[in-house]
Amino acid sequence: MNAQQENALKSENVKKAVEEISAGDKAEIKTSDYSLNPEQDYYSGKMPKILGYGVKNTVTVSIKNMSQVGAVIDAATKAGANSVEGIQFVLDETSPAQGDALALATKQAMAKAEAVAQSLNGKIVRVVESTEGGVPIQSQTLMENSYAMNSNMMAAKPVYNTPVQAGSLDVRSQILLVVEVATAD
Amino acid sequence: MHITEILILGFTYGNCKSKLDKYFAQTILQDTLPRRVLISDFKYGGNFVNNIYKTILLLAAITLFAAALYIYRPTNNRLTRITVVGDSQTKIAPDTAVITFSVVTQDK
Repeated sequence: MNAQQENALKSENVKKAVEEISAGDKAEIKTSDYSLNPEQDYYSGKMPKILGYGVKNTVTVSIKNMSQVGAVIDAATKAGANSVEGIQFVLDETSPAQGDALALATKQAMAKAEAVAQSLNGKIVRVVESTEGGVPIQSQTLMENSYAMNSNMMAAKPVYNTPVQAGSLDVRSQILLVVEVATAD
Repeated sequence: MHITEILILGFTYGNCKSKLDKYFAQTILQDTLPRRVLISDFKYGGNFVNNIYKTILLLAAITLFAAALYIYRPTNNRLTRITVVGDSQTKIAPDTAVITFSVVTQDK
């Protein structure tokens, strides 16, 4: 079996395994990269010859159920994935947390503006301009090197589950307001 | 005849609904004004009555304009623009995990 065919078979197995383990959790599986490259002998001092081919199929899986992360990694590696390139924990763009953070920032800005207006013996007439800034700061990618044993630990060949901890994200929001303050002469 | 009386008579004629009322009104007008003026200006509500309405409308518009000028009269307030920055930072549990893995194969 050549490299391309072997890769196709393993990739299909990985896909099935991930779909099976994450059934009902709305996992999104997509191919993010695919490459097929000749492997040549550059060190023989002669004209390079093609010795074989290397194939790499990279898959990205997005899952909502955090408790399934370790199981997905285990299932994928068992089915043939031989390189795990990382985990990212993110916040969905539609998450209300983003809006809450922005509302909090706006309230803080208005409180500052009120304080300035009061110190000038004036009052805020209107908000002339508002500019949103700030991006969510992602927490560090967490993958512990320790392994937790499951109930099969007493078997001759113990099976370990990959523990994954999502941690928390720092969501930062920033807003710039330009307000008009009316002060009596 | 005084101009006020002519206005009242003209207005009365313009507001007459029944033919009989119009007849009486016209008779009164005929008795008090030259015929040429009566027929040309007061028949069927005539231009004279329209002019009264126009005058009233004009007066109302002028009154409204004056009221608006009074309400939006320039004040002595000075406007100052200030720029402020609001900042918030909260810790939230992530809701999505993105795992990337690859299948790498090679010819032997």
